[in-house]
Amino acid sequence: MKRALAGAAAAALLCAAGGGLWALEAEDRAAFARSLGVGALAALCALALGLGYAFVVARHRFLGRGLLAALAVGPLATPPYVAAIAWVDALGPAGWLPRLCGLSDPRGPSLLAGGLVYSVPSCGLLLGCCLFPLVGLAAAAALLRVPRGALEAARLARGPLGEHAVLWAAAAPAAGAAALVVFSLALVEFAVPQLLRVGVLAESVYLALAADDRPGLALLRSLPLLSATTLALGGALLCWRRPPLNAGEPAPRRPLGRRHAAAAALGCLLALAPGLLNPATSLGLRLWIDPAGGAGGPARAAHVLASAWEAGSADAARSVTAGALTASCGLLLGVAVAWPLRRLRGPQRLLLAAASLLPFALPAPLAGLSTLALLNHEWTAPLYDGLGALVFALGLRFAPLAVLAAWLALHRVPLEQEEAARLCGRHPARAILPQIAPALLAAWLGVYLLAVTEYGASALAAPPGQSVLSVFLVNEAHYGQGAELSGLCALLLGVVLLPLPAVGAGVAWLRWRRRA
Amino acid sequence: MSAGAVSIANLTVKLGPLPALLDVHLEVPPGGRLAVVGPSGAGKTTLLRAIAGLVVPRAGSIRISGREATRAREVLLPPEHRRVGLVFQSLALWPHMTVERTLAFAGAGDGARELAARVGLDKRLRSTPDQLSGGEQQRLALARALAPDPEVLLLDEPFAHLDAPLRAELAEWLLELLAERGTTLLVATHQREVAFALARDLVVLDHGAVRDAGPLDALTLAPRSATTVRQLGLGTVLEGRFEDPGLRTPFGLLSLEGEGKARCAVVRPEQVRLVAPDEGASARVLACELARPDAREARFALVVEREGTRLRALSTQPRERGELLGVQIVGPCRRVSPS
Repeated sequence: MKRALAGAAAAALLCAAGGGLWALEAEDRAAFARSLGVGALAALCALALGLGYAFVVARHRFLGRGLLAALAVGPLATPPYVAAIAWVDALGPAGWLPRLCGLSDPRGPSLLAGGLVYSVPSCGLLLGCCLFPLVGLAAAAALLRVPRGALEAARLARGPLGEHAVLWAAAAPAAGAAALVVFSLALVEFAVPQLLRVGVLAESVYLALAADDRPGLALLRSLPLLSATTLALGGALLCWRRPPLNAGEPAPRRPLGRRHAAAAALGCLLALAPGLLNPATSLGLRLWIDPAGGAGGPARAAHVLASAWEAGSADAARSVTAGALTASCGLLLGVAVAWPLRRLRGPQRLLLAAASLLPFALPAPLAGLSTLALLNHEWTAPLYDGLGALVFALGLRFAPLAVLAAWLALHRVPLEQEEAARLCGRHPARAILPQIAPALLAAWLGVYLLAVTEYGASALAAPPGQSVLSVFLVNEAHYGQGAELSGLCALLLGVVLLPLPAVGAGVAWLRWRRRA
Repeated sequence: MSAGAVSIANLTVKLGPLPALLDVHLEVPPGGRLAVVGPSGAGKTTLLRAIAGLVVPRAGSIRISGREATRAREVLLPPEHRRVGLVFQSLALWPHMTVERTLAFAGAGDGARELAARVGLDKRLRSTPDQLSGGEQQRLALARALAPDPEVLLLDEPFAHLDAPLRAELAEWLLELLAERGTTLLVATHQREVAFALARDLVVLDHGAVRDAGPLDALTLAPRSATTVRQLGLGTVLEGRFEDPGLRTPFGLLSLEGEGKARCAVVRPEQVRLVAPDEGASARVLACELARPDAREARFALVVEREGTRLRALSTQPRERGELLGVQIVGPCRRVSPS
């Protein structure tokens, strides 16, 4: 029955995609093909890097492993369009890398620029490199759950190959699900393709809304995207639903010799490099070195940052406010919804998970358009004219993620613990919430990060004259590279990292309180 | 009815398509100690959860200390007001709380240290569950259930993961504590040692229905159901056909005692006499292991087989697997219902 329903849904989605494509013009069909190419390449790249990364950090022990594991947050915290700015800055026609290597042609674009930088593979590769920690973290979490006994039994039965078979069996569903999520994200992403001059269908959707003011055409163009992402997310859910291995004492990490450790560390750093390129070049090169040969160093860095602050501080403040509001409201909603829903089983649980993941399938401009359509009334004018519309649009996109995170966190706590609290006459929340507080905090940070770096919906939903930093930054990027842009990138990274000290202090306080 | 009495009538609980409990009747007097035994999936845990108010029944009613706590599709008395303590099979300890915090949170208040001392955890007050051994975790779960001073204590497979000495030690401690407080005890277990150690009365559940109920000693002497025989390890249930004056089985004609028309009878190991193959029903030895290591004389537990039917017996000397023996069943065998 379930399979028949899934088959029928898949067939319906394929028909919708086919119908949408048939109704589109040839140019849009070509754009959709490019979108698919970008998504597939991003997923493959993320899968390859993520699995390797997961096996290194989750299964081996060597000096610096913890640091490498923590660095994976870097590419996730860096918005892909910021990485794309660094990519062009490094490899573009006036890029510093071709110049450094003597590959740039003074009469025209560099050799690299023509074939590599502004292309579908480049776009897929960049998105894959930025999003691979999703696959890496999912696979690493699955590998860490493999109990010692399962590995030892496999070793006794089939030798090292048996051990690897068990590990792959544990990692593959999680990695596959995460790769499909990466595919969906890359498919609807358009800031990066726009910067790398790859015309994708998501950008056509945005143009139909922003430039042509034709919502009908935007919806029609969205249809193939929606179908493809929904199919991919359905696949992700099917992978994700595979039961994990039995719990037990986790398998210990294996020590690595010096050479192998050095090779593993180098491999991880190479994998992380594209995602961390912008922080490195923005802060290390552009701010410190004046290409015109002027005074460099801290004075120049301070000057550039001050200019960026002057230009973007108001936008940054709005970004922080909108991000914090979205994350807080989303999390409250998440806990309120997830608490009663945690007892769900079977198809209802699957439906909730699907509804939570579906916003990823929605091209961002459509979220912006829906917000405008919903709030463009007289009685919602205060929301429409202020940050309310932006928070609403961001909430529409990311609040389900908070629901999903809260639900997953609650799902890990056995219901019997709640029942034990009830039998003792205490409110279950008092026994359960402290246990899931770290997961809720991580969810808050995740939603905040996504909200402050979001571009597609913000570009439409931010009220005129009250732009946010992400929109300001992407718009500035169209005018070329320079120290100012690097300063704005540094400012955005600062905005992204802003809550971390507060969160760190909070965690330290909680630990101190627990010890006390 | 006085404090601690549990009365269950016509209780039916459905979890999924099949009933987990079917028309269950049960009476436990105040201060009573009842063991609920049965194979896995018999409904033992569901019964305890229904008494605690964590499961809503499809039909029937539950009265605790004279108050109607549950009736069909309705929980009248919420779990926190039933004065019931439950030790979960998984223990369900709160991983983020220390021993002291757990007991205080559970309602022991200022008496947390005293209660911890009672269960021998006074030196582990600052430890979290993951820092405790299996026995300590079990004691913490027991102490948590006892912290609000319940009138009824429910134990779900309480000693499932403990070794025999620790089990005996904990059982002794628990009985002392229950006697002191006058708490009613209901323990669900599939280990007959636990039932014998803790309970005075017994209920045998199978497929959600009560197969046997009564005082433990009476049921041990005169079981009425094959499930009781199997759960308490009283002997082998043989099936046969009526033939005057008894029941014809592969091991010969058994003389029967007890009422009813069931075509099953229990053969206790002591009733099986091993003789030369030509003197009794010849059977082959399937397994032989040392039984009763505490007895002065070595006794070996055998499993013998004849025509596909197995029988448990005792022997004073070890036997080889495959060895041919003669089997005679002496004395009347008790008639039991097949399920």
